[in-house]
Amino acid sequence: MGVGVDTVRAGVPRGWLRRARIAFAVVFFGGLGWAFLDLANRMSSALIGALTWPQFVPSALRWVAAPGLAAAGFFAVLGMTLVFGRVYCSAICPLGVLQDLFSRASRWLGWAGRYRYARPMQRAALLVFAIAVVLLSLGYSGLFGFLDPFSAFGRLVGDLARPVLVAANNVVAGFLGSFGIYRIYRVSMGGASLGAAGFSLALLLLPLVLSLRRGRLYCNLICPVGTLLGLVSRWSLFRVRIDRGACVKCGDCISVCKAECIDLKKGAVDAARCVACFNCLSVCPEAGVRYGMAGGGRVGSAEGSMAPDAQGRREFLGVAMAVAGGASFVATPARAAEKKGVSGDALKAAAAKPSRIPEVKHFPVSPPGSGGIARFNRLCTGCRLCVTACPSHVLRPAVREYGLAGFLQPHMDFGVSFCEYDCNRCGDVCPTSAILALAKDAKRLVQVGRVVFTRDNCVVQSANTACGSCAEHCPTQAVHMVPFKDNLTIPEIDVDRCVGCGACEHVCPTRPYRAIYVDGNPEHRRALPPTKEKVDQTVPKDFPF
Amino acid sequence: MRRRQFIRGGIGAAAFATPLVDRLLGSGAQASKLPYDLVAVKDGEPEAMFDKAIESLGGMKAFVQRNQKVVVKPNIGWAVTPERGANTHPGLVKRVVEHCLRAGAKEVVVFDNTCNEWRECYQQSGIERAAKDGGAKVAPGHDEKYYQAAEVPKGKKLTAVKEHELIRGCDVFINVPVLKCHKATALTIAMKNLMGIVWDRKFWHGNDLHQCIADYACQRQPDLNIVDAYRVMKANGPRGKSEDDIVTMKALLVAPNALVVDVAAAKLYGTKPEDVGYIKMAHEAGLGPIALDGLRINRIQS
Repeated sequence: MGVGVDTVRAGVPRGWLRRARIAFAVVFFGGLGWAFLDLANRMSSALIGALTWPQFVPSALRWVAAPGLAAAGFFAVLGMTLVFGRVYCSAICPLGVLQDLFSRASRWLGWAGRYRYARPMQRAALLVFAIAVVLLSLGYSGLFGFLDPFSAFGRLVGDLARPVLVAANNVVAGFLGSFGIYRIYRVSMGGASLGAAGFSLALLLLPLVLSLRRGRLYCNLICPVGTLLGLVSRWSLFRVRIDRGACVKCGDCISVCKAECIDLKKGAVDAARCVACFNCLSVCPEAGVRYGMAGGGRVGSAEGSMAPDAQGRREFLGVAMAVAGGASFVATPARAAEKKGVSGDALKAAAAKPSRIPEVKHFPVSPPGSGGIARFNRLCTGCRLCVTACPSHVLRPAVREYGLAGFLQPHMDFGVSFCEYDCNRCGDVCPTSAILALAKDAKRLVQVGRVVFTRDNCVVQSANTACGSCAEHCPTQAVHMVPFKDNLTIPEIDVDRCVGCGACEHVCPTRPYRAIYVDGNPEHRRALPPTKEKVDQTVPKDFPF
Repeated sequence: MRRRQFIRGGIGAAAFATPLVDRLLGSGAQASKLPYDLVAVKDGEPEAMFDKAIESLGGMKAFVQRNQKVVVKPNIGWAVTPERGANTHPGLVKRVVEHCLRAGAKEVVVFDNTCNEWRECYQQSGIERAAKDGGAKVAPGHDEKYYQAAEVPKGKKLTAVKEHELIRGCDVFINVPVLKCHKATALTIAMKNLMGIVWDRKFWHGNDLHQCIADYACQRQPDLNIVDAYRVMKANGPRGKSEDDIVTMKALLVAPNALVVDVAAAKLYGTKPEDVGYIKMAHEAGLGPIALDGLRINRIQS
């Protein structure tokens, strides 16, 4: 692959480092790409957990929420960077690998030529990094999600690639269905919309466009993880160096360096920007590029790697303090969630008589396991993994529901679907623990919202006809039917046994206002368990006819 | 006992196969050629009960001809296990499919427009596995694109529906509901099960549910109705909260006419048929009798 790489000369097989990097990149990019595309929800949450464990930002947020081994991935990344340099950026970060694919494609198409050395833009990078830290510290995790490379990748795949795959799948499903083959079935677009796609495209176009000509410039200028790991990798034990004794200054290494960080005039590699892709090692015809430990004899003597200078260290310390401050701020108790009136799809009229009393919703509904709105807003970067994994597609990226703090974080949209009583998948896949994994028994008792019944909107009352759709769907019988008149029954609610799944709201036929709906709990509560009563077991001996 | 009933039924068949019954039952010429209008079986396993029932009607060949396309429509509405009695017994579905294929059906397709997430329903209910084991294809019904618009010309409240394309394209439609209590309609049996072959159920709920069920039952009559009353949900239906809602009745009802089978099932459940709105309305619309007197009934008690 690539521009004359895999050159192996005179018993110096240096290509294996690059090949190993590519192998890891394939695993993480392919695996996570599939996790965000998985139309049939077949991917196991254990595999998703393994692939997201070393993702830096999700792991760090998980540490804030629930320190432990499951959240230690970002420590591993920091340690790995100290030893090997920014291998994370090359092999683990899916957005990094996606940019590599774009770079490669643009070179195949002849849109871009060879890479050239570029001067570092450290101040600009630190400025963006500071913005990221501020967003995170103020609790704007959803906005921060645009800068977090993992979440940005999820949004790109979820908002742009997934709808294309769904559309293609549905064309194939329709075609095969006409031949009586149902193995491939139609899939919902989920939360996909042109608006969301356009928004994601507008804000996330930058890494893709930059990568077309400038390789990993985004990672070294915008990405906060790249900047942080760049600061750490200044001290990394192993790094790429130029062996000035062997180097003939042919420039082949520069031409394949997507980080644009090899300065042959100085005979130096900028360790802060090097993403450890090892392309230079593979391409060098003279074994003039080495990857090894600092001070390792001949290579070390011919110093070819930029050492951490005093200024860099000062800047790093400043930023580190800001990060620490930000993290502690994130961990502080929540600000109250903004109250927002949320209206469902009020336009589809279904019932005979239009309903007259507006729904009054004080809070949106956050997913079960999120604990409450404020906690969720703090910890969710809006990566879309739960949105993809949700079998009923009730989870949708919020636009205004949570306010700015929760922009694009998922909320439960009962206009489109409802939360399946026996499902706990969102918590199983959430990489940041913004949605905690709950056992099914525990999940069935989490009350994410409370049912509200507006009797005057109900068709039983207004039209004197039977309905009961809400009680029919209620898994706990928090909504049940009681005698009304003329053999009719009307809903009655038992709010303390409601789990807020939204089934009643989803199926209620009255418009423009529903007769029954769920108002979110800002802090999730525990619902009372369903009552128990065994029915009479008598069976008639003979047929009653 | 069984044989005597069988013989009595046979005599009854000859005696009652009159134009009057034809008109009352209103489900085509085929029904009158059958030995019985209703077969009721008790105290067996679902598979064995169905074997006996269909045998007494002359075998599945009386309903399915060689090379025909058959749709078997169970109730797969809820993502719960068979023990919860919210869905049709998977063993019964499998056996029905096997009989259809043995009668020479070209293909048998099983689907439902579910209430819970459809893949979970298909899987948890055990019906997807059972139907496939029996040799059927299992088709999806979760997307509006699978449904085609149809008029309901004689409907009082329901004037249009969107029907599943498989229902439009099949030669034989076999309805296999489960008997349950129902929050909205008192009982769900055969006619109510037809809500799983249409798309916009919300309209039905908002526009006199009972009348809509009756309107559609008159419009789209299944060729055969097989009511699973093995595990009968007697509380918190149609979804149910737990196995505490279930009475094990071990019964099965089979009839070509959906109203006849609904009347019998209501009685078996312990409800007066005329207390169920859609049963009364369907009778008034001429779908069939609301009393079982005068019908040729084969009662099989093992």
